[in-house]
Amino acid sequence: MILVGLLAAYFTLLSAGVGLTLFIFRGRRQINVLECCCLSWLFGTGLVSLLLWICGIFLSGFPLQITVTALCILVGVVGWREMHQSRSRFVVPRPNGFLEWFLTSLLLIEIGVVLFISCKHTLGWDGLLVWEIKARYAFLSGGVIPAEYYSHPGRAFSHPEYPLGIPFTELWLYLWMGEPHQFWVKTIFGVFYAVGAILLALLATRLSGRRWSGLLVAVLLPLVPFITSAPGGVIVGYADFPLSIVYLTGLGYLIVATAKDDSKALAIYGICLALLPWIKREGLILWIVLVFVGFIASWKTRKLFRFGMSLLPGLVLIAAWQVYLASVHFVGTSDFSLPALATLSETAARIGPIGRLLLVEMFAQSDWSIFWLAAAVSIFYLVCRFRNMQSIVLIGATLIPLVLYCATYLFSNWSSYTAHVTSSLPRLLMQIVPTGLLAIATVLPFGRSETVRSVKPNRSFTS
Amino acid sequence: MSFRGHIPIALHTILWAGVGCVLIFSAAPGLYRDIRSSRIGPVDPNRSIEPYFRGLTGIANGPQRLGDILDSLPRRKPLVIFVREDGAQNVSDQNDISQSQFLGMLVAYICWPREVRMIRVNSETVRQQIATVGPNSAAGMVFCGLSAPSGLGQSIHLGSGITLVPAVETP
Repeated sequence: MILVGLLAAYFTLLSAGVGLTLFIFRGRRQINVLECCCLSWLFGTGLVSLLLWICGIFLSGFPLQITVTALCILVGVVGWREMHQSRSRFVVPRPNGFLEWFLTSLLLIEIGVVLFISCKHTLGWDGLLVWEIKARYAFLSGGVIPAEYYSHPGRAFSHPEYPLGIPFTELWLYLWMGEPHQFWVKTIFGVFYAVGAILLALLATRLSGRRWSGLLVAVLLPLVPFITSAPGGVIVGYADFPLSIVYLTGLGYLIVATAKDDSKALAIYGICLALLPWIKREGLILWIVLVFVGFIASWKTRKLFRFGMSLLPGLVLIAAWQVYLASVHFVGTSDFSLPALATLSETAARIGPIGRLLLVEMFAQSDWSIFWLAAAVSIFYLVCRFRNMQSIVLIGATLIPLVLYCATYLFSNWSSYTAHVTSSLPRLLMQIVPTGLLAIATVLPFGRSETVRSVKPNRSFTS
Repeated sequence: MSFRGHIPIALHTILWAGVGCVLIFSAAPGLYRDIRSSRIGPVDPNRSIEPYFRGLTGIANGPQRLGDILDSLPRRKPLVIFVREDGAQNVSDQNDISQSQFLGMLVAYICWPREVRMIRVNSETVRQQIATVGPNSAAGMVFCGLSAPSGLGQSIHLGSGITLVPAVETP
């Protein structure tokens, strides 16, 4: 029965995601099946967790589960009808030539390996005591986290103020399985990895114009040691990898939207913007970065109104979460003080040590191998060879988060801010790894200087 | 294209091929080790918390057993959890402190929906902190990675590094 419940949870979640994706893609002649499935997962997890949170304000228990299920299926049906009315057809991408087949095979093997390793490991510290704990408590209370969880200081260690994107995706599985099952719940992180690797391949192909380049960086993804073997990577159930994939997707579709004046890509960018702060609190920093680079790109192309509209879902969600936290009188531990000029003058002396710790971490072979060196070389390429909007956006999206993340430690409340840096910086760096790989994919094909282009028309991989 | 024209392409190819090779050769052994070590599962509802709890306390099926014991305490009162305070002198000490705090969090995780109070203490302040807990205000005290001071009444040694002192109701 547990497996049947698990399948039902996945089916309803994907139904919501497919519906939303097809609704966005309505009017397109061809819909790439892989792209549709990957976006469906990201949107499905976002939609289900949001519905559980919003409906949970009014309902609990079985009525909550039934209501969210009905809404998921309704969204799926609406999206499917829209696709049929616009006579879109699905296209399955097929690799061409030995190299593409070889890289595709490697990619599939790697996805299988990561899923396998993921099933062997337990949830990590944060995976259990920050994320899964919320899902478990909500499950034990009829699908709703009780207000006491937020207002009592005894469980402040689990950061009650952190958003519910990942915990409520886990909760959805628990509700359908009928018990909080810590083995099966880990499957969602394997799926996030598979979706991330495929989206990286698709977006990198689209941006570089070469499918082999996209496939190659997707193959390299699990070879960055931190992704697959360190605490905080894919296999321990942290929110950082899902966050990195949503960031990558938002960035990739922003570049596509800017280069091709594609309103559907801009809609996907808008949804990813909304999901960033819903997955993790640091998502707010990535949200600021994506908004900034999006503003620059839209300002250049004079599409500021459409860009402004794409910010609305994220702004509403950020405000709604803050209002909700205030309404439940949450008591949290504050790792950071509020940024202020007075504080800054006191903590300016930290800039040097933080910069040194950043460099030490980036050159830690056991965590990153030579990934950051390769990313730095790709940025050098982008600066020297590809001086266009796509390069500016890619450089900004890779470097600005590093600067902002380091800047937050100026306001660290820990007794030892260096301990704060060493304990959390590696996970923050991981959030930018897929974006760094996207930059690498862009410069891999030699002698190219234009922006986003299409590969040969018969290659449906990028359609 | 002349020979000189091929040089940048060759350098570009060598550079990125080198990067790819280094990534493969540095990460592949770790991945291989991960594939070979241990097995999938067990497919257990407490798949994550059970190994942690067993590793720290030596108790098999600990979450279930601790949950049952805590259920026997007065329901409406909070559980006070004492863990070691930060301030390690060396790496070994830091590990002990981390384990004590982690165990305290696991106890707090398990005893939901009971309210908990987590108090960080060292061997010098533990008695002062215990004195701040009113005699009738807690269901019990759990000492994680700490010895329970003598004179608190009946203490239950649950496992390695974890002791429960149930509160004695006074009229």
